[in-house]
Amino acid sequence: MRKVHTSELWLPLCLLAGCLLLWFWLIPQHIAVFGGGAGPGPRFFPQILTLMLAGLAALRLVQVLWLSLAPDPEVTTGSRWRRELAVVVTLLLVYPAVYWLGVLPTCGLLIAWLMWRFRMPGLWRIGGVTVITIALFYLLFVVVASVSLPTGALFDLLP
Amino acid sequence: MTFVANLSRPLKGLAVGLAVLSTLTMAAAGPARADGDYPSQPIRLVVPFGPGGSTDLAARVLAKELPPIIGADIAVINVPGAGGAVGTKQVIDSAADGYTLLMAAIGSNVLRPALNPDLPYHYDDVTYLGRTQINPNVLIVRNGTYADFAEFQQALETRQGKLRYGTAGVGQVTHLGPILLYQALDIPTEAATPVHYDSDPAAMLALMQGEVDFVQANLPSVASAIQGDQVKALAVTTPERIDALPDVPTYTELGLPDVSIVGWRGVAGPKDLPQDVVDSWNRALAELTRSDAWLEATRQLGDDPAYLNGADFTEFAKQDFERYRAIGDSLGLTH
Amino acid sequence: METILHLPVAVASYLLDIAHGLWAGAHLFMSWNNLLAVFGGVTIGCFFGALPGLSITLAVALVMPFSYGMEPLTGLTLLSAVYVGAIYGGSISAILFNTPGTPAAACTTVDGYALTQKGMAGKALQMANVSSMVGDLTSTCLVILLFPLLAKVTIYFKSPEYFALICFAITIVGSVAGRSIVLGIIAGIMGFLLSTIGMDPVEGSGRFDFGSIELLSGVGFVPLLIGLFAIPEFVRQYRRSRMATGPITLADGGATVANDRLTKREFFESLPHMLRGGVIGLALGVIPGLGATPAAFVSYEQAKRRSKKAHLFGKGSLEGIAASESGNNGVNGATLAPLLTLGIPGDVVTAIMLGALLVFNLQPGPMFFALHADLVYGLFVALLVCDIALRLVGLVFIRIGRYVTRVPTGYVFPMIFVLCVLGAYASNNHLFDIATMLIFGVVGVIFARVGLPVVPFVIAFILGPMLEKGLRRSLAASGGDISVLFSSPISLIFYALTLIAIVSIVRSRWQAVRRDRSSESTPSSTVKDALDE
Repeated sequence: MRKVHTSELWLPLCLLAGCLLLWFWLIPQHIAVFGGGAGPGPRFFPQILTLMLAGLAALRLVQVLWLSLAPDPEVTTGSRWRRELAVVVTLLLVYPAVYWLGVLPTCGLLIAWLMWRFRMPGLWRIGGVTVITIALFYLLFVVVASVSLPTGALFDLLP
Repeated sequence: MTFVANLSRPLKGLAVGLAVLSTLTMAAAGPARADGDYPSQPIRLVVPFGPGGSTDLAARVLAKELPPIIGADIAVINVPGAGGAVGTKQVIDSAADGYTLLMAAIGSNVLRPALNPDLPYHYDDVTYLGRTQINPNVLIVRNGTYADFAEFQQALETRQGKLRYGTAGVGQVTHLGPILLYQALDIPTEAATPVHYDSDPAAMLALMQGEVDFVQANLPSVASAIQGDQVKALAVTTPERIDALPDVPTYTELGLPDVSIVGWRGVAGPKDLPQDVVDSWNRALAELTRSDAWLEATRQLGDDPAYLNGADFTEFAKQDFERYRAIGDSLGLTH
Repeated sequence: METILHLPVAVASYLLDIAHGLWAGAHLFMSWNNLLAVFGGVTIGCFFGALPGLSITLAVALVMPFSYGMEPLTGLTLLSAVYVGAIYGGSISAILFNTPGTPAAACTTVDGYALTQKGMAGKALQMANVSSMVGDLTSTCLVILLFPLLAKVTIYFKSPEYFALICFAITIVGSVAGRSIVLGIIAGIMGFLLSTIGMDPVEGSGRFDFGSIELLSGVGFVPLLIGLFAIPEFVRQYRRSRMATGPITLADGGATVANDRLTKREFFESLPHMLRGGVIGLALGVIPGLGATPAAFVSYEQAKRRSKKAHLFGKGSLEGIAASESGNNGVNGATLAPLLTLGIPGDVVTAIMLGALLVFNLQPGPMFFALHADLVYGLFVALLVCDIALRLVGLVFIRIGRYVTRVPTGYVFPMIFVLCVLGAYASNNHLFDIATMLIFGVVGVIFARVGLPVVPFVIAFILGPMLEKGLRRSLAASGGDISVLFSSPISLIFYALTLIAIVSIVRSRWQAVRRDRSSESTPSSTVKDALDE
């Protein structure tokens, strides 16, 4: 009896589901075709790629089921992976923060918070480095590169 | 979330203080409300294309020459994407205080909305403040293929469907220009097949390579190749002959005045701009387009100075929009 | 008899003309302003390239307004120097932080970061610098010798040839696929599919845009690159520091930089790859619309196939770094040929240079070389001086880079992350790009979980649209006749190369499988191999 690593099944199964979604919904519904001109149209490559992806996902499924492919040892798994995922998902909050507070205030908060999370000792040091860094970035982006960093939507609500 | 709960009290205080501090600094630089004495702070001029392109260069010339006239600095900001739609939409959505304006161009303001009804903005969702320049297009063919326009016209009429022409993309001036030509000649639009490239020079390269048979491209992109005898110019789209190409006839001279397709650029702002903003831009642009420095710089870029005030520009954009919408409908481009 | 004598005479007079031109160019170039432009430009470029999140476009856009106000030669020199510096600078963060500073350095991350993890960051940085210089020098010298001919090469490269070339370049996916080639190709296809979001490259219609103007403009490449590389690395460093009790440095994690001098033997072993990289960069640079990234890939692929230590590629090979860095730097001088002789910009940097030419009232085109020979030769001299500047400025940056590995990660990574946020925004002045970056951070972490490699994904994302354009334009121009794809000798050569590449990938995979099986008894052998040199 071969041992099947069920954790390895998720990827090919998700990919096959994605291919079905592409083939029956996304490609027919969400690619406009003007027509005109010879040769393959806008749907050609997405269709070919979907077919290839489905084929390879099936191949991967075969590999996992019949060759009882062991997980790659370099892959991050278990609790370590869950923690990493938790961090990146938390980082998604940066977008609403940028939207509401503005880019520079968010960046200031981020630096201070991250330095603290990176176990840097000393509040004064964190505060000082934050202020200096933000001042430098302000100089670099706003003054020198004349990028106009947006202010937050929260600020626009103020009278 | 647990991270936030773990924040120690002094750190929280520091963070809040910092936020307040940076908000205040931003407040100083942020948009002030317009009150009578417009402009009282720098104006952002959004270019809906990448740096280095012709609209960008036109905006930079404007930003260099206009400040002494209008009385404020002008910062050029490139917001490329979706053929100019992203930057245009950004300006339409911004506060109508006259401090965020758009370098309007035919592609982003008229052609995209005319040919893509799904686009979340319409050609008249902006206030047109003034047209500054147009750029002529010129019909070019490979050297030694056609001697003059009559010969070319004959080929177009007899070899229907066999000729290919290069464009700078679907719905660009370079794509619609030849279609206007067939309509004027009263031949079916399938007379020649378009092949779409990324830019005017890329279409010209394809012409030199022999991948396409003719291109109707903007003049600055092809001027040097015409002078270097690599391609031959057959006609220009402006009403009068161009100084750079004195021997090349205009479409009007050839009896086809309807093929007068030109690219254009100007300044526009969000809808419902305050009247004092509209007035001061009308005044400033009228003065700018008479100044020698601006005229010289604009001619260097290969554009023709062609000022229209806000009201005329609005009417012009409307006519252009209707014309291209009709072409789009006839081609089935607008689905 | 006379005709035989004619050829050497013609060649001699041709070379004499070039020497003469160079002399005049050097004369024009030799001013403090120009030297300052070279060193300042290379420094700014290195700085922007080396910091993840700051793109080449931003660096060039930054100096653009200044350059437009300068003398023509000084302005063009400044723009070229920034470009040269940025392309090199991208390798620094690729090696140190596993984050390509520029797209062209995506290939360098594979081996560069592997070397950093083995404690050989210094060697990797040195190799990247030296190979950038040699690659650029090789290609610049060839550009000077062949300049009038290069434009003719461009003329021969029509859409079918372009398609064939991209077919060949895309085989690199197989070389950098990592442990499982199936997963590597899956990642590649996913990248290609992702690149189809937005405006259709040929018809301009929307694909998968759901009526959103943000999606219609496509997935931004800079945010994608930052999200996929920088954020997962940031998270890894974050986890590491959370496990420690106090501040830690990169060097604590094995990124020591002892024994980091590049030996003569290592240099000479990689020299052929550098020279070949320069030639590949030159060849791909003259084709408009390709840019530095495919050059790095093709050069890497070629080096891997010719190297005696091919098995080290992907696990920390100095030769791999030499190949990819010389490849992407080789493009620098070559892009000038289509720009100056045809007025066709190959990428955003040359587009800005084209703008500069118009501002200076210099009309690029077939007549340019004849009318402004001094300026062209002056620019060549500037490019040569850029290479010297690259080495000198590079030494400073390597020093800084090595220092950064000893600075607590608590300083380095928060700043990198914030720079990424700012850089993602500044690349297009668009808030949506920050969201894109963060989402691809999540994608990167998920990829690491399911074993999908990131590099093939990125490569396919870059090359996919080029492949699509090549094929669809060829067929549109031929009226749908497929035979046009196989009608020219240039395309046939590239198809043959593609086949050879595929065969060699399959063979090396097979050998690797066999080696894995036999080495299961002595598992340390590959590690020993890697540390051997």
